[in-house]
Amino acid sequence: MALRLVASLAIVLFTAGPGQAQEALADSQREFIARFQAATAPARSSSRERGAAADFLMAEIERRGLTAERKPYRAPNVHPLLDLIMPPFSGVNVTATIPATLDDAPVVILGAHYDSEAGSPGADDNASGIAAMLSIAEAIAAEPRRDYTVILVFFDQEEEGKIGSAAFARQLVNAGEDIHSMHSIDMAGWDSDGDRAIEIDAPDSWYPRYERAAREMDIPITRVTYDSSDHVSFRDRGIDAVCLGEAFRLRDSSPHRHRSTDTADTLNHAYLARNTRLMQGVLLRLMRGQAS
Amino acid sequence: MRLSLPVGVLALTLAAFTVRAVIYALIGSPLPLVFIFAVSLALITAHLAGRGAGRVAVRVWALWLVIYGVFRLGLAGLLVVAPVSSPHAIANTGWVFMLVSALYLLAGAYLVAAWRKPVEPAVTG
Repeated sequence: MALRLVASLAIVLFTAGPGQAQEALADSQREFIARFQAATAPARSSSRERGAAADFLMAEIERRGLTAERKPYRAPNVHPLLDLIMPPFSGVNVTATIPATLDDAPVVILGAHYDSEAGSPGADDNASGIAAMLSIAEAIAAEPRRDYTVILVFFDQEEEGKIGSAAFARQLVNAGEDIHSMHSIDMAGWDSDGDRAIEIDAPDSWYPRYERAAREMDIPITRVTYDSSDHVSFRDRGIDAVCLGEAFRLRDSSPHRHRSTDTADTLNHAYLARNTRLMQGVLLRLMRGQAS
Repeated sequence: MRLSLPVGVLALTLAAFTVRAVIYALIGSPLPLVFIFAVSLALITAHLAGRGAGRVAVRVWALWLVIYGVFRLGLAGLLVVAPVSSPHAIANTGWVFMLVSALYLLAGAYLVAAWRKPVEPAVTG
């Protein structure tokens, strides 16, 4: 079943032209986000809602022929004094590993957060990132040569202050993993003026690769720095971390963010598919040993 | 110090903070451990010093428990009046939080009363 799904998607994507492939990707992402939203309505905020979202993502990963894992964690409060009063944070990151085709390969993290603000269905923030990461993971899994092990991870509790990603980064570093880089997407489905512009927070070692890929795809790209998404949890530990998103600085970001109106039907799915293909292209080059 | 109800209540309050301290120490936050270590050290030192110092130390701890309980109840009340968007705060300041806060408050009040200075027996005739 899972193999058939991946194979049929691969056939659609690889036999169609770039335009058709992007349309097919946009359609499959639209369908995924609508299903995710329906399965986790009205939001992915409370412990129960986030539990339902984690179950859904486990099943989606398994459907794609990958082995999903729950990584539960406990984490201190944002301020140490609160540790005297409140219980610790607790949550679950959902992960899947795509092994490298080489021995002792470093690890590349692909991440997006799955929780949403209370009362918000979180289609743009951040089902869009989840949909993109699943598509990229499928493409990497279908790649015959992989110079890096890829860990796909869906983070819990980003809206509380990047709690899930901080816990995951700590777990990986404590386990002594050789982490090459981290790539994430947070809110990448809004483009009201149709200019296709994106923003990216990337270190010097990564920005030129994304910039080149964007140029090849005729995507206006702006380099920014921000601290409000999960890549920061990795950057703070000295890991090269990238986050791609819609044009916040150009004031073309979703007005529905954190609202009950952040639904699948408000998204620009062609824009999301294009952004997905951009990151996918960069990462496939890396997997094939063409990164420069 | 003989085993009695006040000693048992004192031990329970210290145990509650110690459990919290161990949980937080395991996830990389040392503050609760430092706190309970300092409190325990102060209580033991005062008890060994004698001359009523132990009683004073327990009453200070009891007063802290009263303030702690009141603060927690106030925080839970504040979050009802002015709700926040944090699911963590919402989920962890419910009726269980309030019940535990009330228990800290009661335990503190009980310890304040139980460790009062003993009344000197009246000398007659």
